[in-house]
Order: sequence, then C-alpha cells, then structure tokens
Amino acid sequence: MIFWRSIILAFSVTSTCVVIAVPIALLITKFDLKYKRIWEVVTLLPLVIPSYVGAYLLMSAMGPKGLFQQILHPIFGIERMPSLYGFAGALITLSLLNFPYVLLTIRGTINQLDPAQEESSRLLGLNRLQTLIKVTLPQLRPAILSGGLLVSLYTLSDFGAVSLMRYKTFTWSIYNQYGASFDMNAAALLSVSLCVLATLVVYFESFIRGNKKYFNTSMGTLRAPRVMKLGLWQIPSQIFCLLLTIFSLGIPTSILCYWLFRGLTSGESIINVFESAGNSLILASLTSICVIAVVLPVSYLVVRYGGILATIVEKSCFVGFALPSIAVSLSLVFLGSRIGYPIYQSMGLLVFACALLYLPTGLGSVRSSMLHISPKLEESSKTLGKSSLSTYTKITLPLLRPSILMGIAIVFLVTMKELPAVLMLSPLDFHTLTTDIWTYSSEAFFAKAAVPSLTLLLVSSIPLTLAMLKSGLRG
Amino acid sequence: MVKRLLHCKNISKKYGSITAISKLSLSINNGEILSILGPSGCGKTTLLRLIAGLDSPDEGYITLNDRILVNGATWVPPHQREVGMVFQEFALFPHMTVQENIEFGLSKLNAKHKAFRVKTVLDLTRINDLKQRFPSELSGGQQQRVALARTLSTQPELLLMDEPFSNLDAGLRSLVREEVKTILRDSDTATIFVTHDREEAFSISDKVAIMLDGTIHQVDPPDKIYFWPNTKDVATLSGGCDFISGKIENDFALTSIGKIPIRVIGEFRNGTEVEIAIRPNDLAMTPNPSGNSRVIRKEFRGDDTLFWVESPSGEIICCKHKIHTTLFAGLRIDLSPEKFVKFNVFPK
Repeated sequence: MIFWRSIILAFSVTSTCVVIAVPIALLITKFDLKYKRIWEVVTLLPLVIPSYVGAYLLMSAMGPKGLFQQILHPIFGIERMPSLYGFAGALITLSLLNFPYVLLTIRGTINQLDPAQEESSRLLGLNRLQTLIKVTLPQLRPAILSGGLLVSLYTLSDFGAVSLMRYKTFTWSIYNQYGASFDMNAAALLSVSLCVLATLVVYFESFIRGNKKYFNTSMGTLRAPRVMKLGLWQIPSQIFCLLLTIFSLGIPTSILCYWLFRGLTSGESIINVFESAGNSLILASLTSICVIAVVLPVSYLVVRYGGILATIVEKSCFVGFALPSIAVSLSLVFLGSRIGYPIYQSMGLLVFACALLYLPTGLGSVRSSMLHISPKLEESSKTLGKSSLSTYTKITLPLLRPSILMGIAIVFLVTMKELPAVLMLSPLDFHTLTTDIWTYSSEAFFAKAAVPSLTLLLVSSIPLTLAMLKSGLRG
Repeated sequence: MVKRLLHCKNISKKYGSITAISKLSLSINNGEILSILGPSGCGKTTLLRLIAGLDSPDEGYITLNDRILVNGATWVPPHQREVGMVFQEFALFPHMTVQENIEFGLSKLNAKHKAFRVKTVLDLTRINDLKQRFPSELSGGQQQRVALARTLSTQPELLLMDEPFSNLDAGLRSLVREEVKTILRDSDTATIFVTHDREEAFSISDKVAIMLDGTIHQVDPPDKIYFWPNTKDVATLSGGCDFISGKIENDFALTSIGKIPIRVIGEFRNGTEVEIAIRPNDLAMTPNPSGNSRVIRKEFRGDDTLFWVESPSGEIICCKHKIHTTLFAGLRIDLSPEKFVKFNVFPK
C-alpha cells in the first residue's frame, strides 16, 4: 500500500541519515579531526546533487547492466548485478544525499552549548565518552529531531529518485494520475493525503520534542568549546569521512564525468546548456531574493515583538514546510488554470511556488540566529542616537550576515534542484537544468544528461561553499 | 546655579498584572551623580528604560531640560533623547573594533570633529592602546571603559548606568568605580546609576534614591540617607540595621539595654512605643559578669569582628568591634551607646 511504502521509506532514510550525520558532526565540532575545514565543506556538498540525478547515477553505475557490471564482466564474468531498483535504491540514494540536513541542524546547536556543562560532567566523575552520551547527545536531541524532520519531509515529497527507482510512493502516484491520465480528482485526493501525512510527521516531531528548551542560550560565556583529542582514532575517522565523501560525492561526480567523456568520444553532440543554466540561475536567484525579503522582517517581528500576529505570520510561513512540492505545484496549477492569463504558466507563479516551498528553510536559519542577538545591542544603538532603521542596518543585519548568507545559499541550492514545481508550473518552452536532466535521464540518455548535471552541481556548490567559509566554524 | 535637568512625575508602568513602577517622581540636577539603590526586582532597571525611551510609561511624564520626553500625548524615541545608557552587559557591538564602537554614535559629525571626540574619550577613559581591538579581546574592566567611552562620546545630557560594575570581579570593582567616578566628574555628566550595592551607591554619588516596590522612598545625600532614614525600610537598605523596641521619654528611649539618646526630638510624645534602629557601630560592648546581655556568636571579618548579642528581652543585635580576642560567645556584657551616637526611632 502506497501509504505504508511512503512511511517506511521516510523512516528508513531518516534513521540512516541520523546514523551518518551524528558522528560526522561530533567529529567536526568536538574532536581535533584533521583537515576539518575541508571536511566541513565537503560533507555539506552532497546537498547540491538532486535526488533524481543521484538516482540515475546509481542506476547507471550499479544497475543490472550498469557500469560496474561492464567493468566486472570481463574479469569475473558477471552477467547481471543484483537489482537495485525499488526500496534499496531509493533508500541509498536519498540517505546519501540528504544526511547533510541533519548535519546542518546539529552543527547549528552544538556550538551554542555551554562548555561549562561538559566540564561539570567531567568533574562529577564521568569520562569523556559518558559525558558525550549523557550530557552532549541528549542536548542535541532537538537538533537531531528537527534535522530528521527535514529529511523525512524531503523524502515524503521526493519525486525524482523514487520515480526513477520505480518505488511507488505518494508523489509518484500523484504525478502519474496528473501526467498520464489527467485525473485531477485522484491527484487531488492523493495530494491531500500526502499533506496530511506530512502534517502528521511535523506533529509527531513536535510531540516527541515537547516544548522544552534544552540548551542554555545565555550570552554569558563566549568561550570556545574544548576540542577533544582523537589519538589513535584519527585514522579511522579520516577513513570514515573519506568513504562517505567517496560514496556521496566522489562516485556521483566521477560517473558524470565518465558519461560526459563517453558521450564526447562517441561523437554525441554536446547539448547547449547555456539557456537552461541561465533559466535555472534566474529562477534560483529570484526565489532566494523573495525568500530573504520575507524572512528578514518576519524573523525580526517574531523574535522582537512576538504576540498573536507574529505567531500567525510565522506559522503561515512554515506551511510550506509540511507541504510537499508536488502538492503545492498541483494546487497552483489548479489555481492558475482557473484564473488563466496572466498567472497561469507565468514566471511569477513559479517563483511564488518555489518561495512558498523554501520559505521555512530560509526562515529557520535566520530566526535561530536572530534569537541569539541580544536586544541590548539594539537598545544601546538607539540610546547612541540611531533610529530603528539605522540600528537594523548597522547592528542587526551585520550580525545576521552569516546566517543570511547560509539561508540564501541553501534556498538557492534547493531551488536549483527543484523538479516537480518546474515541471508543472513553468512557462511554455522554459527549460531549466533540472528539466533537461529529467528529460534525458528518464529516457536513459545518460551521456546527454551529464552536461546539465555537472553544470548544476558546479553552479550550486559555489554559493554553498562560499557561505560555509564565510560563516566559519560556527556552522 | 543648580538647574533641574531631569524630572519624572507620577510615572507608572505595568507589565501585564505586575506593577514595576507606581506613581514614581524623581528629579536630578545638572552635573549631579544620583544612584538608585534598591533590592533586585524593585523596578530600578525599568525606571532607566523609561527614561531612556526603551519602554514607555503607562502614565505620568518625564522632562529633560524642560523638554517633554514622554507624556500622554508625546513620545520622543530613544535616539532623539540625548540620553546615554551603559548596560549591565556593556552591549558592545561584537563586529566592530573599539574605535568603531566609539565612532558609532558620532556619524553626524565631520571627520575632524569625530576624531577629536574619539581622542577625547579615549584619553578620558585611558583606552587609547585598545582602539584596534575587538570586544571579545577585552577584559571585563576594559569592556566597561569602552562602553562608558562609547556613551560619553555622544556627550549625552544625561547618562544612565544599569548595574555597571556587577559584571566585574570584586577586586576590579572598587578600582573601576573610582575611575568611573573621576571620569564622570571630569566630563561633568549628570548620571543616574542603578545598583543594589549600598557601598557602591554611597561612594560614587552625590545623592542616593532609595527605591522599593516600584517607588522612591527617600532621596538625599549618602550620609543623610544613612543617618537620617525616613522609614524602617530605608534604614535597612542603607546599612546593617537591627531594631529593638522601646518607649519615648523626652530626649531618650527606654529599652531593655538601657536609656539611649534619640536623634529627632519632639516627633513622638512621651510614652509612645517605638522601634529603634541600631547600626553595628552604634553600641559599645563592655565585658561584665553581671551584665544583662550575652554574646551568642562571633564572626571574624578581618578589619573588624561581628558579634551577635542577645539583649535582656531576647532581641538579637549585631555589633562591630575591632578587638576580637577578649570577647567570645557566651560572655556576659553590657551594651551602651558609643559617644555622640544618636538613634533613629520609628513608630511601631
């Protein structure tokens, strides 16, 4: 049954991501891991690979007659690789590509923990490992949960990977009903069910997290947390990071390069991606700008003033969080086709859809760092003769800059990757990198899909890397 | 030519059902340093925030140099008030150097004037060597001076300081306090300064305002607050204080430890039951085997020793004495007023 298939996949992917992300986050923030700066950036980069690209790469490499089979055939005489289609393929792809979400939320929290707490624990007689398990990890629980929430929502709403892996979930059925049979009613029914499911996940997360405030957000100690020595564990840790990077980043990019190379040598014409890349850039930039334009006033309003209005505004911004992109797109298609010109199939509607979908992503990042700016700083600026506006631009904005940059980078990146909304809402003849990749890879023209895929990876990883370096170790 | 600078009249402020300030009136003159002394939670910080314009009162009005800052109809925003504030946490801008922090409030000046002002306050607060540093690279005392310099650079008509020394350790505190006092005198800036530490309040200010439960109980010079407290609460807040009961008889009060001279004469009729405030330095202790009081506990403090003495009627009085070897717990003693000391009496 579709319902259970979706749930089981979401649960498995989320657990796998947590298992991968927690050790990495701890290694980077709590231990003297070598080449920390590199791992810091590299472990986030899998985010730039869209799930359907990941899926098609896995298929082309590990499929029954895939790349590996072709390499292994002359040596071992293997005729067919075990099938990766279905659950296993979807699980591997989605886990390898989505674990950085958990990493991001954990790292956002871990540096706000008061180092004095861990020191007290050591003084109370617990050793390092016990301290990690009994003091540090429990405080990371909310972060792990909210990262897990992100992953499970992305898994529920994922369309590309599951459909390429032929694992039938809600999104797959919705698109099928809409695309194949144009059965709007069935598609709508499925969408509503999917939204209910996503809302249940959000509710479940807040239920187990409760409303407790786990960590101390006092501005008091600005001491950097003490870094623990890895000692003999340095080498296994490096190997762990390296293996993860090879699987989540190395293999996908090498296969893309291989396909590109093979396409080139077999004389296939390189398709022109300039126009699609330009369209993707425009869409992603417009969306990021819109999101930040909403996020800045909303986060200020919510954090500084609170009250009923602020709560309503905030909650409505998080609506997109629980709404899978395919459902949002579908409803906007309904809306657009009812109203028709000038909305239907307009760029504006597409940007609106993407902004609605990724507003929570940007808001989450900026709001949490807004919470850490002491209102006293703004007040002292006012007593020094600065108006509210000038205080905001001179004090608040500069202090928010790392989180704004990170927010922009992530919104930019997820919009670059966005597929269903672009497929369903884009103006006629509007191609983006994602639609190109989708078109070629669903028809198994892997070599042709390689160029737009590599371009996509390259273009989206630049802002992420820059934002990561700018925001420094504070994550 | 004493001129009234700030005037608060009947201001009140409620947060939900909690009354922070009720019907409070307070004035401060040009060049004066006034401290507001009160226990935590008495509304001191709220009062400063109302004066600075970071909050607005529910009723009453505030004027500065006869200009209305806030009343029912007018509200001048904080940046137009010419009121500077130094926060308890200093609130230095972490993304700016010391120099940038100080220049922050001077953007309206031209480069030459700005440089002059910065130089002046850097010299005044003696932080010239620190100007290229970031706040995270400064010690507590240095941050305190930067915060002060930043506020003074704008030449506010009135300076507000909210528990400015509470984030400094005890050794540094008295040192910085002296420095700040000198800086404030040199710059002739009228200052309202909030604290819960009476030693701090007495040593730094021209006048002390005792605040309790959202209202001011007494405003007077430190010595007057100490020696002439208006109420029992003021007496308690302005120094160590025990109360014993007694009866008025002309210039004296009759108590269980004997007849003691009272300060204000003619306030009570003879025979009135009163309470008498005893400061730790007020009574002399004389060992006497047939004395009617008894030492019950002693605590060595270094410069002096504290003794808890039980009077014949069972009242516990705290006394200070320099000598500690000849007096000990269990000893019977006589208590008598020190020379020239007169006692404050309050109605029962």
